[in-house]
Amino acid sequence: MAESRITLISSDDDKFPVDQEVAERSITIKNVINDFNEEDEIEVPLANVDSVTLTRVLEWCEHHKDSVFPDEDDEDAKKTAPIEEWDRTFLRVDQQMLFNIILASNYLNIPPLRDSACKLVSEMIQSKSPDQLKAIFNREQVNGMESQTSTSTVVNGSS
Amino acid sequence: MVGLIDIPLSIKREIIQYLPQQSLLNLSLTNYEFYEPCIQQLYKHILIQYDPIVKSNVNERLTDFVDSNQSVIYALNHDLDDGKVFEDHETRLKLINLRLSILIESLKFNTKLIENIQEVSIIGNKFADNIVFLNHIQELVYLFEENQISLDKFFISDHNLRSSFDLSKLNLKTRVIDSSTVVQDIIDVELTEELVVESVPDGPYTSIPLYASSQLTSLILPNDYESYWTFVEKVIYPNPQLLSSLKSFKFYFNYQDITQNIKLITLVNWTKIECLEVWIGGPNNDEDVLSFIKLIPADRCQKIRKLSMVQSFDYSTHKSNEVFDLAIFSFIKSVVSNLHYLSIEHSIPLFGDFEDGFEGNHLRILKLYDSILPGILSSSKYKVDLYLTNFFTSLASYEQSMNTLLWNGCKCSQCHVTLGLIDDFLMYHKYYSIPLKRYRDLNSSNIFNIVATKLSSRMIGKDEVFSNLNLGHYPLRQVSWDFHNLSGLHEIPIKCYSTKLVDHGEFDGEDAINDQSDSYRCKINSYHYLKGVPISISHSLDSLIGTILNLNRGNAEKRFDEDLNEHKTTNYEAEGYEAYILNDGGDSELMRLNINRISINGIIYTLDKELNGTHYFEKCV
Repeated sequence: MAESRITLISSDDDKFPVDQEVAERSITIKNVINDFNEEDEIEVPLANVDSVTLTRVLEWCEHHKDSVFPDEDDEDAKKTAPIEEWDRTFLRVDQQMLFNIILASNYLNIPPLRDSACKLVSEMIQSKSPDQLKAIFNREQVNGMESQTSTSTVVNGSS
Repeated sequence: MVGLIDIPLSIKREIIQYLPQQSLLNLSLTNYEFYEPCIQQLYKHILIQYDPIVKSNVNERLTDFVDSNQSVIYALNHDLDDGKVFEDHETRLKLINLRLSILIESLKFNTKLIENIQEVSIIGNKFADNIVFLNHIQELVYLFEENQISLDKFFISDHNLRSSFDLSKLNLKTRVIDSSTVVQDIIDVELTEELVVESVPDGPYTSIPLYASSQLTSLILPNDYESYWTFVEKVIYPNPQLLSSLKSFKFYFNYQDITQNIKLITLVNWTKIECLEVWIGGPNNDEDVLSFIKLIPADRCQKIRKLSMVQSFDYSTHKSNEVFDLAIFSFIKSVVSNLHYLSIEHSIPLFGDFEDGFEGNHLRILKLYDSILPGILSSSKYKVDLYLTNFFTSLASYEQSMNTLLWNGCKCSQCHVTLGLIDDFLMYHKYYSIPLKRYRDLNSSNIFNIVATKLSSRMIGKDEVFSNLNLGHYPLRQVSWDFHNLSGLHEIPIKCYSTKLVDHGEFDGEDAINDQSDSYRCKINSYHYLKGVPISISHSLDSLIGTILNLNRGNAEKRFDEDLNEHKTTNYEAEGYEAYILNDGGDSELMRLNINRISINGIIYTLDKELNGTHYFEKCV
């Protein structure tokens, strides 16, 4: 097997050699690679992604290296697509890791991974009352919040 | 430790865009950090319609997020678990008006809210006579004018309602033209990106400024054949620059003059077209006109990602419909490479009444759609959203198939009730035949044709927004129907009888369309329709979906050497019987599943693979 010429370095200095087609699932990394010659050895430091998260992200990129996703600007296409079963299983992690993956996919500019993870979070939010949401996301309510938002109930078609 | 509250605002917006309106309200109440992005999303797209929506089941694995596309103002949700269907027209309008008034007061109170609105859609034809509703909409229009809001769209589907308002002062990216519009007023506005033409405006048609052409990217012309070609002749031919930057276009083939098709085709810049709707067909089951589709330069259409095919005339024999399907499949195959959206709509004769009767080999139409079409779509590099807007209506014209559905179909507890009610309905009802000028018995094809047509109206499509290119933009509507009043369909009465039709004499002299001499109101009503009919129809469609997913093992008692041609691999001759393909639910050598979702008459099937490669589906009824 040929040695990878691309090495990603996590924020805690772990090195991850990857194939180019896997790395290029990240538009950020793809743009960095394009600035180099084809035969150059490239090391890309990723200051905002720790090794555990990077491992997970690369696992996703490896699985989806040949996948084709709809255009980012097609909102309707994003809304009609459910979370794929493989992605749903892949994202079955604790909340902290899920948010880390979202942040990493945003930093690395991997829109399909970010979309799947964001859809999963939105599913966690659906069908829950405000109190249940606070319990899930473990945050205190700002005082006086409810009186400010009374007018927000008007666009509500449900009876 | 990172929590949801800590993630950047841009990512919060990414998450929030997938939330339906009630969830947006709930999340907005948890913390001020969520309040603003939730409210921005909540007010982004506002849909005002008569019927409630069909809500997705969030507990399923394959839930889509179409509910989050719109914040819907409607009247009342039916409470089917309690047996309640709210149908009183006045009450429904009152509630819609109440909600509208609250919306308007909120916008006046907090003017920042109005800046979030990008799109307003008013769908349906039940509002135009209501003065209170008209006043509310006019107030809304004034608010947009006063605040100089740039809207993407203020769309009113009903012509009568639309003609009550002057929207010319709004900065709209999408404008609708109808007979009362002055074309010059529309085109001169620099923001116009999309023109939707319902009917031909009155002339005179002066030359349209050249700058108007560069931002116009979408041109959706009328559904009516005469109006389409009148607009082409009077507006497009003198101003061909209108077509130069188009990405979205509707092409309605001229069945009378092929040179008109050639002329219009040469004006379109096909290399830019990404969304195309094609209307094709001719009267009297014209098969020759179908060859016109080859005039479209498919080699230059490789950017097409959304395609809608519409049968523009009734094709009243089974064979002519199969020929039609093969012709459009050939075109689809030639432009499939970047396709991720395909819609196909047929024009079915009234009551499914085909010239060659209700007989016909339904297996042929099934094969077209469960094998041939999925095979074509496997060549796209994207997963395809497939909308067969009235496929079940086509299936309903095969009486044998409908008899099987009715009497030998699904035996679950729901279908036992629903199909029993439909069977009972056939025993006690007749419909009025206009050609024959008398009441006639209904058969299974008739009743399922009516049911299928009503199910299709759950989707907001070409009849209201003038094209089928955006069927995923609006959520499904929970339209109700009481099995008797066919208004909105064909205005043909259906009459109840107190005794079974088999006990009636053969010539009862019931010629008059309004003959009420032996009528009574039976018990089947909207509740039965909403509660059971979509579910039962979906049970009958499950086997079609199973075949597409390679899950349908067919005849388990078939010998291995029977129908060998059906399941050969390409290397069968070399590999022998071992190469016989098993329908084990995964991709086969001959076909790779490349469909994300299939909508059949407003019943949505979402498809995916398990981790072991087996296909599965879930549905929204």
